[in-house]
Amino acid sequence: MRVPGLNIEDTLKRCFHFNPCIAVHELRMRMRGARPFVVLFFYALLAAATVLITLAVISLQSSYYYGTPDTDPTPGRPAFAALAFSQLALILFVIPAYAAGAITMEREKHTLEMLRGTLLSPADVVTGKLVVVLAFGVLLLLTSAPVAAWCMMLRGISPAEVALTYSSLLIIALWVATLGMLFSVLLKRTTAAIVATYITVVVWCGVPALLSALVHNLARGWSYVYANLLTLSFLVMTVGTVFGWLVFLICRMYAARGSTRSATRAGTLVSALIACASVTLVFGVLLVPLFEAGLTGSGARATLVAAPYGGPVLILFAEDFVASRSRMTVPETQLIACAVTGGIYLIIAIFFWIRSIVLFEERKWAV
Amino acid sequence: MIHVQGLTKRYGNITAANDLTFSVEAGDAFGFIGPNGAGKTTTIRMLAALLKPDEGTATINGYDVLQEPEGVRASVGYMPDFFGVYEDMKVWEYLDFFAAAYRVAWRRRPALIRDVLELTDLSAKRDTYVDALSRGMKQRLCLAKTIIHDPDLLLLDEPASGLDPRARIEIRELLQQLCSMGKTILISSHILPELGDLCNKIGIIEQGKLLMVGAVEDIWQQLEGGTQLVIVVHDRQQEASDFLAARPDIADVELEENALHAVYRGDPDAQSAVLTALVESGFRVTSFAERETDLESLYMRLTRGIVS
Repeated sequence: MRVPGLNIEDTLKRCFHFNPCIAVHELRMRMRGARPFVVLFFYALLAAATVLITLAVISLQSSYYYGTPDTDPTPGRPAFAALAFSQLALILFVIPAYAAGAITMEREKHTLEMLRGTLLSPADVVTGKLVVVLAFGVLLLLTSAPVAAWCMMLRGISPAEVALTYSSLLIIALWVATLGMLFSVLLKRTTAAIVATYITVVVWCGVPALLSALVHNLARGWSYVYANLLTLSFLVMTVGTVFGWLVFLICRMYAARGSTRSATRAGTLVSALIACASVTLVFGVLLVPLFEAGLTGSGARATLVAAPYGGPVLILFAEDFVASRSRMTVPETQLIACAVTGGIYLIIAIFFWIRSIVLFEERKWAV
Repeated sequence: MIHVQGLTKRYGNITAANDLTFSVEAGDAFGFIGPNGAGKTTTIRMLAALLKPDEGTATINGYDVLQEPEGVRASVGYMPDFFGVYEDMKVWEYLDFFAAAYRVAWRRRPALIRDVLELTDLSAKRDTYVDALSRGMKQRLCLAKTIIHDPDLLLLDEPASGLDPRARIEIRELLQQLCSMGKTILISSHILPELGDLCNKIGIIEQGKLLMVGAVEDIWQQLEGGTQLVIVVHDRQQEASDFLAARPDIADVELEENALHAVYRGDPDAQSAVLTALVESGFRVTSFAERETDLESLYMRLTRGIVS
């Protein structure tokens, strides 16, 4: 923080009336010790495992059908798609756990009252905490960047596409972080806030998928075997979250029964890692081939744009879309998809962010 | 420094603070005494601009609690009765965080933290993790945090609760030092000896009502209607008792063992006239003293029957 002649803290205070001390304080606490590095290490490991397993699946399929393992000239695209969707599922699984505890933890630890007694404004507190949650999200995404580079070397995906996918993932992270923050301000207990965030994500992602499924079924009759893109995205986003949470709870039942505090903590950490691994593998690797199969028979792009996962889906599968029914070129479709879905969720995130600050302010008299 | 007028706070049917009116001048050490649940914490939180009063006004250092909470917070150091500490945080980081939260410029913070740690005798613990400190040390750290922005007024809610006698004495010495530095202190407690040496003014609160406010001696005088005298004469105790009872400025003479307890109601400056009269009448007076105003018995007298 201390550069001679220029000080970040002073600059922020003077130019934005923002006191960054909450962010500094959160960073000190959250990045201390081995825990964050263990999390990052496993995150990178999972990202690499996803790509490896996807490549293995592709070559096995190829061997089975064509007798030779390398018939796909562009294995980089399905590998990156698997990586992107496993990251999407992981972000939605991990970020609420961080964001939803931001304010409720202070309340549970009896530190909120001391915080309110200081000269920090509600915006300082809410934004400071949000910045750190987002910084952690960015760090997670960056950890997987080398794996994305590896996919690019395998051909089939361009740097521009990777950049677009990552920016829409980042906006989803922002959206879910602000959603978690809103519940953290609204609710009293951390567990309640986390569960409420998960449920909202499930419902939010599920409504466009269900609507689209309904429209399709009405149009084609109920006998149609529905392998719609939206339903699959919904599976990745929401069932993935619930699945991960369940795996975590089950693992913790067995792992976190240690007698000492550190044993309990280690058990919780191991459970979280197992949960993340199963989310990645099940919803990243296994479902992506289904995505591609589902695309050819799908439509209802309006509902897709309205869903939080619309950005990455449209970017990564733009080619299939364009081939089947569009007048636009592939890069155009990708750019527009990223801009529209990103814009929508950015606006929603800013609304949640401001709403959290306002609610925090309104509740200042009732700790 | 503090002016409170008709301050009231209700929680449903319970009135936690009922029409409180008192004022504390700069440099005072004001003790807020009452049993648990009397409304001390509610009142202190209203003064710290953390709780909205239902009725009444309170101004602190000229700032209205409702209108200018920023000004109130800048001039108040508030130590809650039940405070949490952050895990995974070192002592100096804890203080640095609160100093930054009170907008102390970063250039001034290292020196400030050093001074505050020295004052609270925690210099050796600068790099220790907060949750590894003993309870007494945590309490001192919280006090260090309370004074980090150099507030004029300290609002301390039960600062010594749950401490062993040694830690309690350390806290008291620290508070006396702060008093001598010219800070105004409002301290609440249900442990009376803690306040006796420290406070020059007290307010006794029970069931949300302020029973009495003022200097300890004044309250005593008000209660007894005069000064308590303890007189020891060598012999003829009964005679001395009758002699005193006959005087118009003496009331309620009681003979307990060898000592005479009497209440003097006359002019405080002319108190020595009683001694002169006794000596002139030939009583062999071995001791003539004002009874020390004992907070505990004062408190017991005031709250008698209301609690039970």
